Amino acid sequence: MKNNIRKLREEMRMTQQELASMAGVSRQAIIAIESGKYDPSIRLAFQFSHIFSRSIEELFIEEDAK
Amino acid sequence: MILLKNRLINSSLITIISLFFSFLFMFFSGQEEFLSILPEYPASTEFWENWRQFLLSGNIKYIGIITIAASLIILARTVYITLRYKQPEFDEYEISVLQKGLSISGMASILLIPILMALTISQPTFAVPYMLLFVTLIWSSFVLASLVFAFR
Repeated sequence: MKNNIRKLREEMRMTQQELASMAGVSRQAIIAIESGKYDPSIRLAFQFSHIFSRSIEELFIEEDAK
Repeated sequence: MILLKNRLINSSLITIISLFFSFLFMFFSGQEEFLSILPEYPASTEFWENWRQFLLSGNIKYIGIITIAASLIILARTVYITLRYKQPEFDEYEISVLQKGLSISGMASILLIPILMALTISQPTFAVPYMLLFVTLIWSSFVLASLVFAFR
């Protein structure tokens, strides 16, 4: 699954550590999510949705979605 | 698994198990009774002969010392992270990594059991060196992986 987390974080001039603190996860989790190595749970996806004020569909893109 | 989500419980368990193995390694290292159960005759392969000599010379105590030192470093790092970042529990990403690690370790143990059994049946006098290598490999690699995980 692709995501726009890095792009939106950089737009908000936020560090990975700051985003991690806001979402209540480790910096390693943010690194893994941004690089596409880890797909977050629905609960964490909602956290990002609140932080960036975007819908989950805008944050995460299913690669094989038609 | 719920208990393992807590950083301190997780690293405390690693330290307690390491203490147990380290105590055994250090206690038996170089002891007459222990040396008497090791095979008297040289092994047929260089690898097993080197391992037999390693055990005979009492060097296994160093594995015990390194293991317990690594476990204490993990515990200290865990206490630091818990106090510094106020994260007593692993997050969902860390739990997924932990689950993968435990699965790999479990699979490796399951695969090593028949190998250990076959080796022991083929050369029963070497049962103790085989078993010690098995335990050393499994636990040392688990502690090493935990150390990398703690400092990643």
